[in-house]
Amino acid sequence: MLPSAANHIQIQKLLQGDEETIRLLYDTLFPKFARYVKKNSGSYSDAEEVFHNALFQLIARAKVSGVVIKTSFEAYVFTVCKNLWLKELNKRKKKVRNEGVFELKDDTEDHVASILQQERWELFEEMLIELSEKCRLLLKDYFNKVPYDVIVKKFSYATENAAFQRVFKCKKQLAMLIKNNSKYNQLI
Amino acid sequence: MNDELQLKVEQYISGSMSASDALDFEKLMETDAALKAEVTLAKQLNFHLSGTTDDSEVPNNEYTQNLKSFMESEEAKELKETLRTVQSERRVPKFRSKKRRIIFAAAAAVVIFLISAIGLIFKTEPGTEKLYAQYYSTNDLPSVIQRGTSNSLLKQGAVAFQNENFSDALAYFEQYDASTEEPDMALYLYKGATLLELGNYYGAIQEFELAIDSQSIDASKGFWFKAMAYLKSGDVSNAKYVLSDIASHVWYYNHDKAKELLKKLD
Repeated sequence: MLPSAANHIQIQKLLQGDEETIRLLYDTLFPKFARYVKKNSGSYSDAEEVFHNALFQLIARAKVSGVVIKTSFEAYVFTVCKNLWLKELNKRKKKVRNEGVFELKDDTEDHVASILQQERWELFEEMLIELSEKCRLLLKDYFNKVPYDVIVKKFSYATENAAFQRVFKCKKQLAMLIKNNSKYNQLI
Repeated sequence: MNDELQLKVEQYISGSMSASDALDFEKLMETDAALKAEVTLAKQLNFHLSGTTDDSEVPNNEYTQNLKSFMESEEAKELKETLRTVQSERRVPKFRSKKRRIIFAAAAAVVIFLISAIGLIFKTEPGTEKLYAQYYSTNDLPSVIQRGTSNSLLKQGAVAFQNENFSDALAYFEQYDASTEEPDMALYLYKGATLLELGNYYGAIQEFELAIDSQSIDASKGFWFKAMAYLKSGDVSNAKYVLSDIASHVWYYNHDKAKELLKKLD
C-alpha cells in the first residue's frame, strides 16, 4: 500500500468513541477479518473478540502515545487484527487442549502486552526496510529455514561459514538500528 | 557490544551453549542489565524474523503505567461499552437449522423484491443512478490480455464479462480463485465487478477490499470500485466515506474524479 502523508481522521473519530466510525469498521472491515479468521482455524466469535480487542487497544495506544499510520487506515487496522489473531493462535498451539473452548482475554495486562507486541512489530518492520535488500532477503531465508547450501548458492558466498557470518552481521545491524530508535526504550 | 559476546548471545538463545556455559551466562545477565537487554532484543528479533509470536514480559515503565491507567479509567470502560454495543448491533444473526435459513432467505428475497418495487416508484436518491452511470466504467478494470496461459481462466472470465455473460464469468473467476493461493488484484476487481453486475453488492465490496489489500502497485483501484459499489447500491454515506479517502491521497486511482464526484454528492 502506498504511504499516507497525513494521519488519519478515522483515528481522531475513534478516539472520540464515534459510533459511526466504529459501525463503518464493522460493516466494511469486520466481514473480511471474520473470513480471514475462519480460514485460519478460528470461529466467528473468535473474530469478534479479536476485532473488539484490537479496536480497544488501538484507541488506548492513540490516547496515550499517538499512532502513526503509514498505510491506508483499513489496511492498518486489518494488520493489527491479523497480528492479534496470530498471537492468539500461537498461544493456543502451546496450550494443552483439555477443553475444546478457548476464552479470549479482555484484561488490562493482556491488552498492554498486545499493544507492546504490535508496536515492536511495527518498529522492527520499519527498521528492516533500512537494511540493504541483500541483508533483508538473507535474513528472511535464514529464518524461514532455507538450507545453508541453498543460501550459499543463492547469495554467492564462498562457504557456509561465510553465509553464517553475514547473517550474524545483518542481524547485528538490525539490532543496532532498533536500539538507536527512540521508540524502543519504552517497548523493552 | 563486541562480536564475541554477541555470538554468545546467539548461542544462548538458540540453545547451542553447553549447560554449564549457559548457567554462567545467566549469572552474568543477572548483574549486567545491558546484556540482559541484548538477549531480550535478540530473542524478539528471532520471533519477528521467523514469524512467531514474541512473548516478552511487559516492562514496568512510565509508558506501560500510562496505558494501564487509561485502561482502568471510566473513559475506557465507556469506550468498551460503545464497542460492544456496535458489535452486537452489527452481529450476523445465527440460525439453528437449515429450515430457518431457507425461511430467512425467502423472507429476504421478498423484502428485496418489495424494496426494488418501491424503489421503482419512489427513488430515494434520484441522482445516484445517474452519477453511477456517468462515473462507472469497465475501462477502469485492468487488461488481462497480455497475461500468460496459466491465467486462462481469468482471461475466459474477462471475455465472458465483456460479453455480459456474468454468470459464466463468475464461474470462471471462482474456479481461478480456488486454483490460486497468490493474491491477484485483477481477479478481485473482475470478480467484484461481476458481482456488482449481478446485484450482489456485499460480495462485490468484499472483493474490492481484497484488491485494496493485495499490496499491488495499483491496489488503490480497489477504493474506486468500492466507492462505485456503494454508489450503485444507493449507500451514499459509505460512497462518500470511501471517496473522501481517495480524495485525500493524491496518488490514489481516479483521485480527481473522486473529488469531482464528492462535490456532486454533497
